[in-house]
Amino acid sequence: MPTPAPRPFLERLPGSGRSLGAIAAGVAALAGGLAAFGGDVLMVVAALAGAAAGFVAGEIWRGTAGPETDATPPSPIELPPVRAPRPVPSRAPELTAQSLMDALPVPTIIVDETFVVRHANRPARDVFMALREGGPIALATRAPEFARAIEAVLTDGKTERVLLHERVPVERRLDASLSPLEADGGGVGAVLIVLHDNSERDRLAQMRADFIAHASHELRTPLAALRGFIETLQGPARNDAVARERFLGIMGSESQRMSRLLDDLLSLSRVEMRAHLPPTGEVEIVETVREVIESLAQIAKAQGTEVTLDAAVGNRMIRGDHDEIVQVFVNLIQNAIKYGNKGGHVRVTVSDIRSGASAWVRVAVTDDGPGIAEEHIPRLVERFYRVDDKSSREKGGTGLGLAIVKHVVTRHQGELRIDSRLGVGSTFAVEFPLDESK
Amino acid sequence: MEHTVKSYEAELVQLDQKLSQMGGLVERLLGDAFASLERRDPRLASEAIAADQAIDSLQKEIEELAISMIARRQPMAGDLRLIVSTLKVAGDLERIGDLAKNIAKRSLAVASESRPQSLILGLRHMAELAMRSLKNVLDAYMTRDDEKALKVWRADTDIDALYNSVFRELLTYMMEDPRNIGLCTHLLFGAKNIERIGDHATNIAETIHYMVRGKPLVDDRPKGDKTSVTLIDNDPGERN
Ligand SMILES: Nc1ncnc2c1ncn2[C@@H]1O[C@H](COP(=O)(O)OP(=O)(O)O)[C@@H](O)[C@H]1O
Ligand SMILES: [Mg+2]
Repeated sequence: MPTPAPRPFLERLPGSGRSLGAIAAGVAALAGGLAAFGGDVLMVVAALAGAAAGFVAGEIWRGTAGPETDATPPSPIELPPVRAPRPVPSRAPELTAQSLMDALPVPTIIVDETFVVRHANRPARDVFMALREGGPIALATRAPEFARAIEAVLTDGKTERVLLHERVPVERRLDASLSPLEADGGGVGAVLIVLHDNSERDRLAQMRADFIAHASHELRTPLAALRGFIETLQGPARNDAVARERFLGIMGSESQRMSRLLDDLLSLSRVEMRAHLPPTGEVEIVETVREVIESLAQIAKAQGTEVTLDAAVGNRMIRGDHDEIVQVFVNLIQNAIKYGNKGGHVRVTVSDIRSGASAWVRVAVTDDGPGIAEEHIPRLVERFYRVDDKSSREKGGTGLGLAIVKHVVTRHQGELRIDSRLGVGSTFAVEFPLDESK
Repeated sequence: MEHTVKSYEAELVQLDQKLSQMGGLVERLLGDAFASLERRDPRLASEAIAADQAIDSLQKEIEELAISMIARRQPMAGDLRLIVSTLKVAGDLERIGDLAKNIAKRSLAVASESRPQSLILGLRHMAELAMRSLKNVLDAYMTRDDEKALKVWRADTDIDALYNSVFRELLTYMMEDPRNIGLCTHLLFGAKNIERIGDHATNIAETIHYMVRGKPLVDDRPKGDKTSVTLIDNDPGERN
């Protein structure tokens, strides 16, 4: 098999002390490069490097106090002897190169001379989902300049720095610093890679640009309508009480739509901003769905629509962001009520699915509305895509609801499935991997 | 004996590394080509077009290495399958490179024309799916992950469905206003190129299945493309 089995690379490095020293030195070297990214990162790196260096010298972690004898010289006045403090037995776990890397809050990877990943800490695995220890580094990225940089460090023993621009699964820009780790008999045995994610900064700029472009484009139509009504009310319809009532009603709903549009644009920008960060919280699905259905009771009632929940499962925990997950269910159920038939039935079903070794929870929202023609289905998640512009506008839609859903689902490593038949109805289902540690 | 075995292993690793390198170049080319179309960036387009050469020469290197390995080592079942599969994957990657290069060329042609946002969003959506498939199928190849390859294989219907939808939308624009025809034709070929890239990713998925399982995928290929073949299957600029 050409994919070599994982070798215990870290164990091959000479005595853990030296290997730590090597890594600490590497981290310290990189700290200089990282200084540009902000003091906090630098300090953590420096502190850890210091800790590791101390460990190498045998100064910390285990304590270095001398023999516990009373060394106080005799004195004419009897004073209680002053004792050196007793060494406190260390309760710190064995400090290994792994534990050092795992403690680093920045994505850190060790690659050996055959381009095989020897260790990758949690932040690194969060950045590169496909990455795994014992696998080729190409699973992180096949960016040509990255491989070239690793090659260069291995041959020259100098540090390298590359900027990576990844486009899938989410767009991100990473600043990678690579430095050599000394091998057993001298020479470079491996490369230490420390990554800094610049996506946030770039995304912020992009987000502002998109936001302004979309907002100005989408707000133009309702604004023009408002101005038209105002002019009419000031002019020809000045004394027409019936027209005034009607126009004010339209103006009210147009302005509501404008503020919804701004809300949705903000939500979309927020999820896009965080697209590259795995969610950190925990969400219980069944209760969340129940709460969302309750919160939409008013809207459902106005449509004469009945919303029922069919949850054949107990609590289901996922790793997720509560507000985002709520928004997914709100958007899907609201759509089903809005686009379904008046007096129709919306069924929300929560169920388990197994796929290979992994367990997922599935929430399906089914309506008995008019359905969606096949050619529109794959496009619905694109921002501002609507099957029928007029109907969406009349119903107060912004064309962003499903784009938000898609983004949230992707960030949660989930799936969105749309199934629809004209004249029968539609099912929008989201699936999330269960947090199996729960 | 030990030596021979070892360097044979080393050659297999080298073959994998070359393919991974080639994959990286193709991924970059596809990303740049679409970005150049979306952002109307002629400089990026020219870079993308130039990058295709490196891909072609890597394919030749892979071919030479693979053929010489077969000739010198006369590998048995599993290894032979592996080497032949690498050859096939390299062929599909080279085609993907050509198709991507073609998108970059079209982006040069339409750089100055204004176009409806919704069309570009549709194409972007297609390109994202294609890039994801390409990444996943290359990852699947490197880890010999049959499951992951099958996922890519199944996902091709999504690209086809999108293509059909974008195709319709483009036709609508062309019929609405004949002045749109020039731009829309270029975008149509661009969309077709992406759809074909999806097909090549599907081919790679099939190759992985064969490589891992030792038998070909028996189901019918997922086929969702229902547009007429007469109009767009013969893009003259595609093969060069
Ligand atoms: N349950 C549904 N039944 C029919 N059409 C739907 C349904 N849900 C969404 N759609 C269609 O998808 C489009 C996009 O939905 P969405 O992104 O939520 O935007 P909005 O509801 O603001 O228009 C809608 O305009 C509508 O045409
Ligand atoms: Mg909606």
